[in-house]
Amino acid sequence: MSELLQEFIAEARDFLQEIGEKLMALEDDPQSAELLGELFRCVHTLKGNSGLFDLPEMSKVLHAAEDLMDAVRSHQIQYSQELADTLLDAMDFVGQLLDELETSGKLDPSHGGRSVELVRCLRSLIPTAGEALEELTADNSPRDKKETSGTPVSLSIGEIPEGARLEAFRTGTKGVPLFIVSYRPEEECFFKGEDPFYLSRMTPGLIWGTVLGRGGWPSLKEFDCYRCALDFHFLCTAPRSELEDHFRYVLDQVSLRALSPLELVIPQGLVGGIVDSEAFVSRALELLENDDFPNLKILAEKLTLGLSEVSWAASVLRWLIAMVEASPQYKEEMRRLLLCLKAGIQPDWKKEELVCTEETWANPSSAQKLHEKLRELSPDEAKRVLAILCAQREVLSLMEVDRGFQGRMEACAATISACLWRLGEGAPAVQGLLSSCLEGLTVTPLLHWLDDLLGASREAVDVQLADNGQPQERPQEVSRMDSGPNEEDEALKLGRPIEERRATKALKVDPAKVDQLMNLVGEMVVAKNSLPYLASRAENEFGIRELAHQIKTQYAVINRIVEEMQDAVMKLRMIPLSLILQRFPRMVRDLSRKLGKKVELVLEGGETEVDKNIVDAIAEPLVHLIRNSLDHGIEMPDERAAAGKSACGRIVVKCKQESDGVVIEVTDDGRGIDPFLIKRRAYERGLISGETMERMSDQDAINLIFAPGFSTAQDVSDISGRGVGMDVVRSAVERIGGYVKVTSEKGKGTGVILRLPFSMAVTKVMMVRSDSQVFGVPMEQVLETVRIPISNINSFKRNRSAVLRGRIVPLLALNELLGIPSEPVASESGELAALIIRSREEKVGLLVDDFDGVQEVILKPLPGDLARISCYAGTAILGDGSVLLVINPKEMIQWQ
Amino acid sequence: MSQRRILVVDDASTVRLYYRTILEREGYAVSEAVNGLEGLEKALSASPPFDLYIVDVNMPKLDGYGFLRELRQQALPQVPALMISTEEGQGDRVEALRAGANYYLVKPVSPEELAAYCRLLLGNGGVR
Repeated sequence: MSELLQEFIAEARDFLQEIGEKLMALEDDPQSAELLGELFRCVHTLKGNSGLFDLPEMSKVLHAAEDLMDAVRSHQIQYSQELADTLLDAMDFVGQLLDELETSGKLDPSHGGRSVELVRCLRSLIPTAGEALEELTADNSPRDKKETSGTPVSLSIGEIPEGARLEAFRTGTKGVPLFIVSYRPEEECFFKGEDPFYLSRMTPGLIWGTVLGRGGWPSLKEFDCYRCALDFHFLCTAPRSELEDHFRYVLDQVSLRALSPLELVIPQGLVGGIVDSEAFVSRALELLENDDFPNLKILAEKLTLGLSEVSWAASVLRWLIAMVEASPQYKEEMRRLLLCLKAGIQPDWKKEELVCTEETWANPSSAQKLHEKLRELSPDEAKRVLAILCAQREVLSLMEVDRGFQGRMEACAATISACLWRLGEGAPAVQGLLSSCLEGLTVTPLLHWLDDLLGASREAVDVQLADNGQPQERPQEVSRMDSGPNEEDEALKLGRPIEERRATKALKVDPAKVDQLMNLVGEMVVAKNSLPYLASRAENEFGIRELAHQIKTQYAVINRIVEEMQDAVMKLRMIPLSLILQRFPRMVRDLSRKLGKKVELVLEGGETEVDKNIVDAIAEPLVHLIRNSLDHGIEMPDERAAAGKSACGRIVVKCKQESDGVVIEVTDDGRGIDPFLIKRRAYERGLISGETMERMSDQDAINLIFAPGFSTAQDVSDISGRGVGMDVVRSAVERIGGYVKVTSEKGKGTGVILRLPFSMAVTKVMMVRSDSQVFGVPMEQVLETVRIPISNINSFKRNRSAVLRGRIVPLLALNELLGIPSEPVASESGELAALIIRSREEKVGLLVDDFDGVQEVILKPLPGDLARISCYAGTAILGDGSVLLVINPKEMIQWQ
Repeated sequence: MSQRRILVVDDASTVRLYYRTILEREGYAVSEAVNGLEGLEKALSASPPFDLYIVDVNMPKLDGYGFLRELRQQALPQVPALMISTEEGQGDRVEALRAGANYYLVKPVSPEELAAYCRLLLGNGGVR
């Protein structure tokens, strides 16, 4: 499986978790825009990620979920319980797919049906039903979404009547911004309460407008008059911000194009029929030269009188007059316009302006050059170059003069330069243009240069862009990435000098590697223990005190380092308990709904960190405890009300750190455990005798729930089941060296306390001697060690006992338990050594020959079939290299 | 020519890994940021500055638009930015270009496409 797919699966799981949590949080605060936004983002990103792989079932469901969340986010629909359920179902499905993907590396095609079903459920919640149908019908074919919105093919300026253009020109030359607005309403706009016609007519600064059909009209039979098939175009003079505000609800359907007044100057009309144009032009040029604008105007007006209104010359003159009126700044343009009078050709304003602003930019052949260079490239590459250059043109035309102006200009210039470099074409002009732009706070120099550069090529590209909304080279080989790990992995392995290889802060490490490190450190702990042994040999056997001393000093150093190392590795393995706690809210929510109970779950201390193995080991028991509380503890709402409690039950899971370990308490305020009921049930099952039942204290009765096969629930339910009960919880907890305690008060509630060690990597064992052999006993089982004078031991038949602090403690000989045919040996002072062991809430004394101190060892379970012998906890290797057999007295005593 | 440096700003680690794999194969040095805010920090503290930014739109803390807007106001050598998003609308493209992006692509982007655009946007010498 490729690294990318693994990353995807891991990240997707995180997202699913987050989505679940956010949904939970939303139940309390359904209006929170922030939560809705985050939820949308999670689903959205997840969908985006899944698109990198060929996972149609998953992507489809996520896509529907995303649309649903988008509708909720934009308040088209209200958040509801049903919605959350559907979404959670969908996410569970995605989770299943992820599991499958992880185990088998691919998806079984059989999920199609379920995914269609989920998509239908999700879509049915979204108000507009139209899309859902589309999605369903397009189910098995690649999705080709029809572009309903988008920008219409832009209107050419020449199509605007001259009168409107003249008016706009006059306004524009006064410094008011000019825009051509193209508005393509959505087809369904009428059903959204939009009124495109009214909206268009109310456009600020509207000078002229037109309505055009989109073309491709369907036959009359299919024609739907309730769908908008019109485009609106208008010429207006208003600041961009005002226009954007006006169209704020449909901004995505509107395109604005800024115009310079000169762009409007397009004379139109019938050429010919003008009398003495030569004389007029030379006279007019003379007046222009002398800056005699008033007379120029009079001259032009006079000539106009004798001309047909629809003639080319009349049109030119009208523009000339408008220019004269506007300002003398267009002197150069007027000259140019006059020269066009007779020829009947359009004046080229762009080049004109370039020439008059700065000679050096003008590079008449640049367009030609670009064209040639482009032809050398592959069609795809050429298309990309043009697309990028056109994007820069768009960037420039969208540019506003604000704080980011300089930065955006620089970036734009850098992009253009980079692009031209690729063509093998240096662009020294760009730098100069950039400076003029920055000095003049205007985009014009660069924009016009770019326009010029793109020249003829642009039109072709424009059409292409208008077709697609953007240059599209739809990726075909994207899904390739999930199946082809070799190529990129190899590139990574080649070990290029790549800096900042991993930028992420958190390091994800395979737990197996940490385990290995842990084991090695463990071995080291044991290995260092051989040093004191060596030291004593050096001193006692070889008589070299100096060496012994040095070994001891060195041992102290190594000991310190190893301890720190051990500590560091332990910390690596520590993970917060919240990792298991976080699944509970969802579980409690689902179960309580199923049971018809109302329950509030409170989680505390999730940040408490515990060794990973411990977390793994208690996850299941904790689930079991919470289920128990839900199923048996918390009463039905009416029952609670009758008992004077609030209808909503409460389950608290509290984690806290104590000196030697972690304590997890699961408490509920339910009906509690009835000791009498327990006793009777235990009696019925034959677990206790009638006599014991009479004598038994309430706490002892409650402890009966730990007895194997005990369950007090009246009905078998699919939630807690029957048969598997607290005994499983207890054995799971004890296996990792912890213990369980239950407290309960009838009618008030139940509390289960789990005490767990931080870590189970290194075990402390008590070394004991029996029949001159050494055995280990796990320290957590040892309550205390005592030496009992033989005289204080009472024997009754073969059973021995002693009185310890006023209580009778039964005594068993380890030799006897192990089947060693010898009696425990008393010390010189006539005392027997006894380990006091806790066994099922009872104290038992284990008689041994002698104690031999406490050692830290790495406990390894017995291999193979031997592991099933529960009397032995495992083996460990001691400092001198010998093997220590660690026994499990608790189990041994039970076997007895 | 020294190695060109690219900053990838995207909240999805899968996407970052995808880009990184492609870009490193092309011989670029890739840095990552998980949101706009971190991206900005990295861009500001990078020395020498990055040669290209690849930016996602929808991110927590600071989105792609915000990142570009802030970035373009900073006094550092300004270089091209490529915005890559799942949004397909025309409005988003315009918004991106206005915020300070120099090109806009829609996910999913094929390895070839990404590499080709990066080559073009990085050029050979640039104006730096």
